Amino acid sequence: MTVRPAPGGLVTAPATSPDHSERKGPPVRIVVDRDVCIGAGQCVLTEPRVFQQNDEDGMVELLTDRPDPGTTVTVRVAVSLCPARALSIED
Amino acid sequence: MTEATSAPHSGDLPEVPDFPMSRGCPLDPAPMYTRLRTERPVTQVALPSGQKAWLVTSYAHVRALVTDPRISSDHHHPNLPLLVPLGLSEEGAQGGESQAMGNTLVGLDPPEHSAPRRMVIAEFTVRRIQELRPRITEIVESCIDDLIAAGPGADLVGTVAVRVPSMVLSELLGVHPPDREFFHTRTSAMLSRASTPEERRTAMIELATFIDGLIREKEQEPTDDVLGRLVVNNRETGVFTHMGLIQMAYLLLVAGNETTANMIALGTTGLLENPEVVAELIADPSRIGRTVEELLRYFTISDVLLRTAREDIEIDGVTIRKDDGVLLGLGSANRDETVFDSPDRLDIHRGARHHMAFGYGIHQCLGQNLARAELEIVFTTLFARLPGLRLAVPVSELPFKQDSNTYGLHELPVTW
Repeated sequence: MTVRPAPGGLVTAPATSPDHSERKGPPVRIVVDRDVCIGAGQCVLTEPRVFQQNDEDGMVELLTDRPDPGTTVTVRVAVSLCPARALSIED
Repeated sequence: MTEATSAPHSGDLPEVPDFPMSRGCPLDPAPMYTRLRTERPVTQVALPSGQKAWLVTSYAHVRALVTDPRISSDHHHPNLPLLVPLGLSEEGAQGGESQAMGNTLVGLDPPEHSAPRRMVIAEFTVRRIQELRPRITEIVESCIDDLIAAGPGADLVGTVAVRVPSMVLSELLGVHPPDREFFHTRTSAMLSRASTPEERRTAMIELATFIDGLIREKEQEPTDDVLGRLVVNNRETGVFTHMGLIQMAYLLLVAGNETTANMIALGTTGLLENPEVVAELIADPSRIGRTVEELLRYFTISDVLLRTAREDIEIDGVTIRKDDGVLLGLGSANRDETVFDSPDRLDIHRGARHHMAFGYGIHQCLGQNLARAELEIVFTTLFARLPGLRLAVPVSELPFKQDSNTYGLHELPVTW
């Protein structure tokens, strides 16, 4: 799979989050709560291989709920950046 | 502004410092914040009105409270910690603005906040904004043409910073091309320091009247633009009254205009003061995303968010009482040394996306991806076309918006 960087090339772990030290993690399952999503698009900016926004309502949609282990780090970043806490991870 | 800030690193911290606190260097937030973050990250402060409120300065506490359901954004709360007392506003517009916007989106708590926000989310998705980039680039190019035509010494605020967001927004919202100049002159008059309070108020009323007419037109004959689609959606959902639609349009306008204009002016200044960053950017334009993100963190033009407490909140050994005013210090949080290494350094390589320049929580800026696109395109185009750009006067002589809720520059004379 080719790595497509987010717009602006921003794929970075917050320096303060200890969870992001590993470059590749075990497979995770992503859970989205569309009822609280505010469509800020932070997840799409961070990991467009996993997250997208629905064209009709702007809310988050998963391209897969079991993302490639190569995206685990950026998925965790996306979860931590979500301003509405609409994303969570089940390990 | 306060005696306390003249000696931020020595002496006793006042029990209740005055707020707002003055900046030392115009490119940095108030130096007092540094001390408060370590010594008293949740402190009482005295507002110009005499009212007391809580100021929160550490990243962790701000981030906890901005998502805390016990914290309210209700703009009609009598204890909302206004920094300029109503009626005494030098800007003349703050009272009107909070009335116009307060019950639209920014001033609503859940569940009332959800439906109106959902009406406009789809207009600002990452993909939609991506599609606007070619058109934004044309607008930016034409504004930079005007800057160049004006010659060295020209004001970048008037030619580019205020102009770009105004042109982008008028097109996006669906203002007819012949009316865009009217739209621009009124939005400029609202922002200009040269306007008297009376002129500002007049511009605001003219703009609201204009938007009213525009929405009536679109109700008759819907067009394929943000306001046209909003009108059509509203027929099905009935979320907004006619007045609600006007307020929503006005909010999109105000929220997207001055903020972006200020970030363009401050961002350009920050880049010109760090020539090594400009050199890196010219060498590799793909660094623009990180650069914009860092400029957003560094300047954090909304220094504080205004909130009130719905109930008692115990935090950091103090109790914020129900109905107390709360100021959430985004500017301070984004310079928190426990979260950002060497926070006062403009470092485009830090890749810090967890700053709160757009706020955090359910009110996080709706237009953030539009703002990012505008800023990326402005800075990239500006330095591609004028690689020798520099300030025409020293930073210390630039007119910063010291008394404004949104930090920025009134003018930015540049040369090349």
